[in-house]
Amino acid sequence: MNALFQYISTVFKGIGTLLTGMKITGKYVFTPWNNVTQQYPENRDTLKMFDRFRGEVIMPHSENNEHLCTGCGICELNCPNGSIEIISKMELTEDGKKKRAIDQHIYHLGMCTFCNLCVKACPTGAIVMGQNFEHAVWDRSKLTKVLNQPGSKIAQGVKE
Amino acid sequence: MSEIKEIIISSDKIHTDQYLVNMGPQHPSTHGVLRLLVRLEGEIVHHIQPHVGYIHSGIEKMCEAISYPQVIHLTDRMDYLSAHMNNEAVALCVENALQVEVPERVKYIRTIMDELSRLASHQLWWCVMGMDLGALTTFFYGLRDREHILDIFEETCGARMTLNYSLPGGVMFDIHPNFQKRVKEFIKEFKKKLPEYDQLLTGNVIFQERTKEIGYLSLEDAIAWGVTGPAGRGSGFSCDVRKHHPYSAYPLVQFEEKLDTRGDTFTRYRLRIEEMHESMHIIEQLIDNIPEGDYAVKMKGVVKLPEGEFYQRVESARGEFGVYIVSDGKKNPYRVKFRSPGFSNLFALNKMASGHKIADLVAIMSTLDLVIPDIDR
Amino acid sequence: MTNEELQAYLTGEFSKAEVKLGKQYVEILVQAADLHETSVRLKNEPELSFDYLFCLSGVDYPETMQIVYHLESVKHRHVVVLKVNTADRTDPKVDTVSDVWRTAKYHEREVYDLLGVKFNNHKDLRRLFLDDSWGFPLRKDYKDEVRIVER
Repeated sequence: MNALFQYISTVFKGIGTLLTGMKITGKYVFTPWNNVTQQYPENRDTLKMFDRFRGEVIMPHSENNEHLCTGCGICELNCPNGSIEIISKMELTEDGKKKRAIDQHIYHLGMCTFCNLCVKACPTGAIVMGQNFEHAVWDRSKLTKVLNQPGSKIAQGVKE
Repeated sequence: MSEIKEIIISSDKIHTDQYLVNMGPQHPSTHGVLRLLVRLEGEIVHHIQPHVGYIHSGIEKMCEAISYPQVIHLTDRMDYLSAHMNNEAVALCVENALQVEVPERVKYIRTIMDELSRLASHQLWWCVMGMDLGALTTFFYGLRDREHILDIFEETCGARMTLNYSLPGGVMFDIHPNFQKRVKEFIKEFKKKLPEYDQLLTGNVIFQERTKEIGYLSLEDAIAWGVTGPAGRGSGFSCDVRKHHPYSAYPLVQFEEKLDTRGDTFTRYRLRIEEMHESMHIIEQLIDNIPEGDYAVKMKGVVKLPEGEFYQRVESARGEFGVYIVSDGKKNPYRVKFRSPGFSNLFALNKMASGHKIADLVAIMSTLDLVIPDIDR
Repeated sequence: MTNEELQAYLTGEFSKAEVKLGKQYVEILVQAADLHETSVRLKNEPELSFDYLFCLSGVDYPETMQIVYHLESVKHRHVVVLKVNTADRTDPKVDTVSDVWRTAKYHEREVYDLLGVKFNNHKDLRRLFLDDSWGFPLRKDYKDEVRIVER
């Protein structure tokens, strides 16, 4: 008899605690402004990432198609996964000296772990982390990028 | 095959009424690719043999080829829920080896980040624990609150989970100007939300029936199997590294190591909830007092450790995390060993779940809070 | 006990072992034959009572395989590092301590898996992560043409 009474009381207590929980969920049904969900593909135009967000490595160019990269290769050394390859070339400066310059800054996005070590190590601040996070492509070869734009050259006054 | 034979014919007796069931590798409650070979009699679990290694990534081998700052970003990928503690362990180990004294500001930032990671990890554990036991609602509530912490991480560190924030000598960036305001807002908000967790799940009779007096682990077993973290403390094993071997700003703050001796699933559950309160308490003590100063000391371009062996223990969200670095004086470590909490905790599962029903196995496993890359490394 | 006290105590107690104070912890290097006896004494003597094995690692040195046990006493809160060198590097063998600290059972399986150290008297010495045809990847002479890219 005692056991039966205990069983029934547990059932009622169970219903009671269930209602306590449902009170919470009910509260949020009627206060939907408390939620944090974003309507992602619809809000693409207004969606702004935080300015430190690490999406991809990019090399900013000025309007004269000038960048800050000297081709020193420090980012290549600092990359843990070998996702950066520097191909440098020899250029003649105005006063006739030979100087190393960047030919191609190759960046394998598919191998990058976004650790920020290359950006931190860069002595001239030539590469920064971009905000783009939509990296899906149909072909893997498209993930290999050349960061310096064709025909670009190093900005005046940047030294190694 | 020999292994199956060995399991069936244990104690010189062929168990014809027992059978073997593979739980996993693709089982939702194993939280990753973990296979448990379970010997059952009816619904009663008799023996569990965990099989790991499905996502073994050889991180220790990879570390031998890269430099110390580069090692840190790999530790993010082990226990991705307590990524910052793992980063900090390597950073502290390198700093101790080089006898670099980091600024006070760095210690405060690291400790706050640790506790935020612990909160985020426990929130995810809480919602997944509810989901394992069939309460889907908790999943959304836990993730909703975790989102605020991940936003704080993203604003300051630039990433949501793979933070790579602590470096030898300091942190990657200074804290964002909004950091203190956001953390205080979050703490204020979450203090109101945490009692809701109790109302939703802790007080629920169905939940209590499924967790109380299930999965008992004695103090002696907890020590013998090296079960640390809230799982070990639920058995009365005082194993909080923050208390016993304090690092960063932990000597400066007041907090309590939550201990209980009951050792069942519900105790481990309750201790994690209490740890969330303690974490918020620690953050509150630090967040207004972050001293001014540099966020990193200048390290050499190539970090080389002196010859010798270095060990650093930190408390991650799942238990004790350790880094053992053997250096031969070069820029790469000679050998790196990670002592991961999940590895030791997992193998106590057989001790805890034997004799219980198979449905209880799910509940026991979720209070161990396993993260599989942490086990496999 | 503090590190210095522990060092003095261990030097007196374990005459056959080599005790020294490392950078962080007291280190005790034993012969492979004495390992099991030493570990039983380390665990059971009430002044020491090292009952919590928190890390077990194997290191591949040029001449020897070294197994390193990090031990802590829950009661006294002191830490010791127990080390043992195996006689042979290519076919290393060492006694198991899984009957002393139970968690060592799986840590030893991990060391066997990654370094190929065989533990005598181990009840269940199988590979843990990798399959049987794999080499021992943490050995320094391990070669993998396909998966390891040298830079």
